[in-house]
Formats: sequence, C-alpha cells, structure tokens
Amino acid sequence: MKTFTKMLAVLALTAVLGTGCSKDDNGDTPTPVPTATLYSRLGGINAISAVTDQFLANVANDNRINTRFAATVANPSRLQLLRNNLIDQICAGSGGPCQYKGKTMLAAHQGMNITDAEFTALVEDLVASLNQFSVPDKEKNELLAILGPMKSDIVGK
Amino acid sequence: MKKLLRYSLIALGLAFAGFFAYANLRPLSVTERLEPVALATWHVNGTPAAGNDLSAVVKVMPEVTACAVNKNTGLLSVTYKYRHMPADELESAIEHRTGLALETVEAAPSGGCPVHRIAGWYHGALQSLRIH
Repeated sequence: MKTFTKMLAVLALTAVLGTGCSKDDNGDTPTPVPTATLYSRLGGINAISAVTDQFLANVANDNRINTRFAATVANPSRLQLLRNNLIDQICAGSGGPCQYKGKTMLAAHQGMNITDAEFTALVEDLVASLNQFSVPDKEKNELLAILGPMKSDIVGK
Repeated sequence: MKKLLRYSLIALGLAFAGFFAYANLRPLSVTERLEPVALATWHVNGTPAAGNDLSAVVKVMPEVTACAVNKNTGLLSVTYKYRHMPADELESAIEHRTGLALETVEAAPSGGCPVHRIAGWYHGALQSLRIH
C-alpha cells in the first residue's frame, strides 16, 4: 500500500511538472492561421464564372483574336465546353473543388500556330475582365502567375 | 431477318435507355451545375443617346451575364442565359431598351478552339437528354 501510494505521488508530481513546463513561456500554444485559397479570395465559383463570361464577351469583341473562336462561340455546346473548361482551369488552379477535364494546352493548340500577339491579346482581355470586377492586384497577379506558364504550350505550336 | 431486326431494335433501345440514365444520373461537377449560357455578337447601327452607356443598359438585363462593347468596331457581344430568353428575343429587347438597330454577325462555318476531348455533339446530346 505504501509503495502504491508512493507511485501515485510520483505520477502526480510528474503530471504537474510536465504541465507546468510548456514550450511557450507565456502559456499560449501558437496555432497556425489557415490562409484562404485563391479560389475563395476570388469569390468562389460564381465569381469565377462571371469573370469567365466577361472574358468570353471581351474575346468575341476583340478583332485581333475573335476569328479564332468564332465557330466555337456560335455552337452552344462547344461554347459551353469552352466556358466550362476555362472555369475548371481557373477553379482548379486556384485551389477550388474543380477538375480540368479538357485537352492539355499543348494538344489543344497543336497546329494552330498561335502568335505571341494573339496570346498577348487574350491576356489583355482576361485582365480587362478581372479589372471589370475589381479583382485586387494581389489575386490578379496570383491568377496570372498560374496561367502564364501555359504560354510556352500555346504560342508557336 | 425479322429476328435480327428485332434484336437490333432491342439493343438500340437498351443503349438509348442506358445513355438516358447516364445523362440523368451522373453526378454533375460544380461547373456543370452552373446555368449554361450562349454568346451573341451584333454590329450596332447608330449611336446611343447622349448620356446612355450601351454596356450599362444591357448589363442590367436579368438574362445577361456579361456584355462587351467595342466602340471602334461597333461590336456588341453578350453572354446570356439562353434557357430564359432565346437570341432573337434578346436582340429585340436590347433594341427596345436602347433604341439602336442590331445586325447579327455571321458565324464562321467551321474551325474554332478544339479544347475538349469529348466532341461537342456528345456533350450536347447529354445536355439535351437531361431532365432539368
């Protein structure tokens, strides 16, 4: 009995000392602050879809590149596919709950001989649509940084 | 011969039923659940009355999701919810609101951006079989 009591006392003392000796001298355990994904900062799927629709309207009006898309936008099914793929790319690339199911950029643009000027025009139309919805510069630049590397698979193929 | 025809028809019927079931039972992605849109482009004849912004007038229409105006070329492009309003009704509505005449831009016969693995007709068939 005495031995058991001694063991209990040692255990209790150990527990008290262990609790007292925390890593943080202030007694606060630092918790990591979860950073919001670019997807949520952009406003989620509805905001991305609004920007994409504006982007498509901008492209249709842009004489530098609208002939590239004319047949696609004239066919409702093909337009829907293009729109969905664009939304999926932005959504998935920004950490959203989407999966891009289209062709790779390389496969999709093979043989089209897209020029640097045409790619630049497309980016300008995208930036214009982002500006129209007052997307902050930080989020805009993050999105362009995700999409920008696709240029090498699109231009001159 | 009659048997062959009967079995062929049964097989076709079963295939169609399977396709119909797939079209309606497959889980839709977040993107596929969005309201589908179409895009129309017109040449705008005339200029809006002083103080009227064509883009601002068109954008607030409930069926319109986006609008772009190119003042240099006179092009107006609109993405809209085609299930709510077909293109010709939208054109009339815009003309009525703005007092401008719109001329449809002829679509290119072929080509375009081939970005989806599944052909446009297959996706269109899935959409048309789906009960909304």
